[in-house]
Amino acid sequence: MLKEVGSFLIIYQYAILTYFLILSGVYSGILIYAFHYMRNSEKSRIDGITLKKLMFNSNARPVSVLIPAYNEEVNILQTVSSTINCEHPEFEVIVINDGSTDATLQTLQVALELVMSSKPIQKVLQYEKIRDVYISRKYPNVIVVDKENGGKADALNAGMDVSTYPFVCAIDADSILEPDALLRIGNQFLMDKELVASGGSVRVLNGCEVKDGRVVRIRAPHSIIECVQIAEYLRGFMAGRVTWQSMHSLLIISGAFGIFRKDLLQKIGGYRKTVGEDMDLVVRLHRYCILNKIKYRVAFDPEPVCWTQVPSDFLSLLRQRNRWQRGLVDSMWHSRGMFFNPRYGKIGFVAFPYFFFIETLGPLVEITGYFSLAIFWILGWVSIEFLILFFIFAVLWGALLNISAVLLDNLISRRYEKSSDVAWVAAYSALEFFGYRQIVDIERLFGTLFAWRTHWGHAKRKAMSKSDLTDEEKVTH
Amino acid sequence: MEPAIFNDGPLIKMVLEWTSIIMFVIFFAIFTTLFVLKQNVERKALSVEDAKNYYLNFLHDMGQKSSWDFMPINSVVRRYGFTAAIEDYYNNRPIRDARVTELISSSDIVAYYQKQAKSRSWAVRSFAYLQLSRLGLPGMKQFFYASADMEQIKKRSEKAFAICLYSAALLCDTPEDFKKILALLQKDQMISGGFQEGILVYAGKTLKSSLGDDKAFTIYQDALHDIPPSEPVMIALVAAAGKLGFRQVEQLLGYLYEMAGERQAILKVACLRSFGELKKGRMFVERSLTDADWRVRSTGARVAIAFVWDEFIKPLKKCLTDSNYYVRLNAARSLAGMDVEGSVLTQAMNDTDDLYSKEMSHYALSGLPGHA
Repeated sequence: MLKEVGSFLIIYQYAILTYFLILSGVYSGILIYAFHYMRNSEKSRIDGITLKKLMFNSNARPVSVLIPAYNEEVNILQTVSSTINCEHPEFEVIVINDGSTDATLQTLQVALELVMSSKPIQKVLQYEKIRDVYISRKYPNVIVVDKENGGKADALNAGMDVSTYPFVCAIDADSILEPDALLRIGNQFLMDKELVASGGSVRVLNGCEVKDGRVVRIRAPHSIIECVQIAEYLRGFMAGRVTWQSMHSLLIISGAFGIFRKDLLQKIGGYRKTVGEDMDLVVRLHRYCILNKIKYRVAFDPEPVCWTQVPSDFLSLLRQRNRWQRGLVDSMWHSRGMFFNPRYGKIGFVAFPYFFFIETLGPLVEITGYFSLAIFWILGWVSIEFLILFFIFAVLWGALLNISAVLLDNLISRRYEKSSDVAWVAAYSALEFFGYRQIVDIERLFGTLFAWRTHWGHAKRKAMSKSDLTDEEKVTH
Repeated sequence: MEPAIFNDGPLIKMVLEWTSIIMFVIFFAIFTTLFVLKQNVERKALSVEDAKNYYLNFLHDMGQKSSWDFMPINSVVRRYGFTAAIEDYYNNRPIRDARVTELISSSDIVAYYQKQAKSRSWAVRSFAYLQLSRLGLPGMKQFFYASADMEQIKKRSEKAFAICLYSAALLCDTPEDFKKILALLQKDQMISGGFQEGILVYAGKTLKSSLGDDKAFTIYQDALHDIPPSEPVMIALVAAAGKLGFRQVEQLLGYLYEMAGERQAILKVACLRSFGELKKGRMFVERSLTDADWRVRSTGARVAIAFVWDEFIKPLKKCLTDSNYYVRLNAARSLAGMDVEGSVLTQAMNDTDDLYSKEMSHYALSGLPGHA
């Protein structure tokens, strides 16, 4: 019996190693493909002047930008300011104060010179009661909705009903849009008439200098956690999404920056109340379009950029990852009928299995792999060659990919002013697999196990506009 | 106890070890290749150093300064390519003289990008079209038409097709060019109507600047006559009239508006948009407010603001009770725009029992100073 258990554990160990090997291969492939794509994308990038002329001469569809805010008094003005400063032929900004208990509404009232208005609302979706609607005397295209607390999805649904235009763009309240972000994301809808939803790049704001709602200086953050997240965003989110969209199987458009056709969102009942409302929405959008035989495309475009704050302390990070995992599991469970369903093609046979086996079960496999290896090592069952190989695939390869992602991204976008910043981020990001990932995996595992929980778990907010410049730099810059 | 893993499976061990080595080698080979390829966009055509010198001489010859002051010239050329630098020059001085054309033609850049435009990659093709359009050589028109044809026939990429057509539109200076662009758009099943409108506006503007307003209008008018109203490109053509400022087109648009049946509501919307831009066709705008299609009523209510206000107050007030939300909204906004003191909206609010109308009037009023 003991021998059989031993044999099983040995086989399991081989399986874990093979899993890491496949994972490394898949991630490497994704990174290389994404770099190739982004290189091409950057090559064919339309310059700002031409793009502006194109959009203003064409019949560009107007956009309603929705900003759900819950206790965002620290950063909301920067976000609103960045959105107002965006270039686009016609857009409105709708801030939804989701029952904040801090001074979010008061901050907006003073800065935007809000006056109460009884804007008639075309009620299509379900959400908590709207208390008041305000319009800005300072900026005619800004509306603030004050409502009872109901969560992010609820706030977005309310915003959608208040909105006037046929496209809605959802951004986070701690994010900064680049001035041409709306133009670039809207341009896609002009060039491709089958597009129903599109996501833009989300980059890490921590460390950057923000002034009047604009990122004026891009610098590397100081903490390891933030640097690691830069690589995670590049490798996991940007590279992953580029690859999935090329396969017409993109299941996630980040809640921090995505644009959608409003009529379709209304038809699927808007956002569902879940902690992973962004993925859930896109999955249901796919399902609706396929079932109704609508020719459609969901895209990701790396050109429009939104800067967002990432957690700077470990507790907030773990809460965030726990929430993301719960959102992933809930969304997959809600749309489980798509899993290996031939009607949904690549989404059912490639995207869903990937998200199930790699993203949902991944933490379980990785954690059991690490633990069993440790036990085997203590028992003296593992040879040193195996240990080295395991280390290569589970740790070193990941570090290599992170460094590559940071270097490649900088090669294309050249966003950092200083090479030392790139080197700093690349070096720190390599540390992801030395403890960070393992701890995050444990939290994700908890997220999977307690997926029914719906509490949000808000992260601590840091002010965006804090300058990281030294006094000397402030004078010379 | 002896280590069990790897002691019993030399084959597994070998496979895993070799897999890791092969993966590493492949990854780095691709990584390095991509890295090297990225280094210079015009590497084969012109070295960065040559391009930099060329651009500096070019600016010197033309007596211009670079507007890229915030970046060293080397970085500009390295990052954006020589052609972007040329475009920078054009942005400062839109009229192109023979010397500019000669200077550009004497380089081997045109041939290089023409070759690139035949690449299998949509991005490389798009880039090549963009760069060639930046050079602004009139002789490139036929090349763009042929390329757009190929993009269409092979249904390759909507973005490359759109950029190619845009490049062609920038060089459109004869009636034949305009017809060719229209023909390409007529066949097009790839890009949206909104972008088709943009292409036609560009083409029209180029026509106007090279042939003058009257000749350009004649070409445009002929196109309106030639294309059946049921063609999707007609909508873009009609909408472009407003942006191009062809004031003489009122009668023709009116005729099209009359001809458009209930199933062609979008054509009516396009006519109304042009009427609004041109501040013409008041009669049709007024009539649109009672149209059966809400999209027509809504557009009519919106463009009404372009006309003398007192003639529209009554029909717009009536629109405040419309069954459609967007008609009510646009009517209220137009009334608020015309009625800066808010007296009409206040009266409209007091005179009606219709709750929707009251709400919308109140909302529009709240945007006016002193009516919070």
